[in-house]
Amino acid sequence: MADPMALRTPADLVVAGTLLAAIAVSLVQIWGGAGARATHAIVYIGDTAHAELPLDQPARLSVPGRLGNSVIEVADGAVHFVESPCSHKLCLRAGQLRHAHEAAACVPNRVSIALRGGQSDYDGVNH
Amino acid sequence: MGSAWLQRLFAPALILLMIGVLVLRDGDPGVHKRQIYVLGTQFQVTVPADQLSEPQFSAAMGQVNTRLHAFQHLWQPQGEGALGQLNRALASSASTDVPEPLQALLGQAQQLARRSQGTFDPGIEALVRLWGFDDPEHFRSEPPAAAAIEQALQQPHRLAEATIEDGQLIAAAPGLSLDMGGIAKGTATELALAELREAGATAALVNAGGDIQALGTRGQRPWHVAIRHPRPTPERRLLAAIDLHDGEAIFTSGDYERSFDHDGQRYHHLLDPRTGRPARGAQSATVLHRDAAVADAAATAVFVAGPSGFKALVRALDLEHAMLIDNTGRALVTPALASRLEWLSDTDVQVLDAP
Repeated sequence: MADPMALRTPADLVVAGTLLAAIAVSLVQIWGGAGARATHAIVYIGDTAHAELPLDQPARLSVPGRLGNSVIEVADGAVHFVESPCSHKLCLRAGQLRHAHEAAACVPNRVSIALRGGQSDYDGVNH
Repeated sequence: MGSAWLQRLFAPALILLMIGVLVLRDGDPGVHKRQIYVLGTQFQVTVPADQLSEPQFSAAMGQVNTRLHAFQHLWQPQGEGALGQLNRALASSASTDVPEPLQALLGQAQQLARRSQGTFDPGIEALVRLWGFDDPEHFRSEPPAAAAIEQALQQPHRLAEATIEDGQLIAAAPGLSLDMGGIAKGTATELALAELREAGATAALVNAGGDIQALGTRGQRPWHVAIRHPRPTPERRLLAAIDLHDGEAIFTSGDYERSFDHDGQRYHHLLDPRTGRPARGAQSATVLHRDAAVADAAATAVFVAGPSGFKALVRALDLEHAMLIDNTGRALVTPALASRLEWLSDTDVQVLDAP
């Protein structure tokens, strides 16, 4: 008598294997580290969304703020402030942002970056 | 017969499992997010989307904005509001009436100052101005002259030593000037949450330039926040993570915030009231407390106390949840906080003995 759990044909094996692989990939995407990667950045002037930048496309954007232009760059899957008219450049120190929980702001110039897409690991970052 | 059913059910069961996984994870209804600029920082407010409709959230944020700007006006040290007027009165007189809207927070600030062993005091307004940290857009790029610091220290600069009684503030001499920057942000997060509660929300997260207070939970789970590493690298940006329970606030003071570098030395805004200079010995200090004003003031106090004063200050302020990262990167942590932290970077952790 055949094993009752045996799959009957090679096609059964392909279907079962595909489904198991899909589950594994879903779990990694949903709960795993890869999901923390953001897919795009929203650039705000004050509380108004000014631009949306996909993180997989290199870009350089000049954003008119209260004091002057902040320059924001996307490269290698990350976004960061590269120039700012503020006096102490704390926004430049925020560095490269690539995860969904990350954000940076130039408070004097009222320009900020929020990352979106992907599953954020954290609801906020205390600093 | 049985095996046939098993084989027929195999693929549907897997598909249902996948859908179940997605439903469980995506039970999160999403969030409303909005940011406002006030008190020299960015307040970001997050409310789960099932708490308020978009119009309700917008209206609530209008109320938060109005209330926080009124609060800012009240507490500007050199402005036209009540604290500005009080400071001008104290410039020429040792005593003055304390307007009613200032009394509660001034009283709380004074109590914390008295218990803080000299590490926190709002009376350092003149020193903050001398260092240029009063204006985030134009602070200095070199330290003030030593003689100017000494001169400022000769003036009354300790709220802890003044008397507040029957609505009157009495200092030893004219010249006391108050800056509530070390405690007001905590009260502001409480006010923002109060407005959101008023609008009907039972869950929200207020992030005031990196200092965070939670209301309720995010759906079925607690609010989960990370603590920034004070010396981040591209590979290691976060120090630890923690779940915040309803009402809890987590505040961190670090030498990487308002600061400037001069001759290879970093000068930051966390001034030691005892020396009139930036406190040395710590990279950051974190306090978790249910009263956000206490968390705010205590984070400054713990930073200023440094590793040598950490244990005594934690006891003096009765802090259950506090952490100090010293200049070597070592973490000194109270037992209660240590039990809740999830470390995200390789850190030398020293847990205080239980009191």
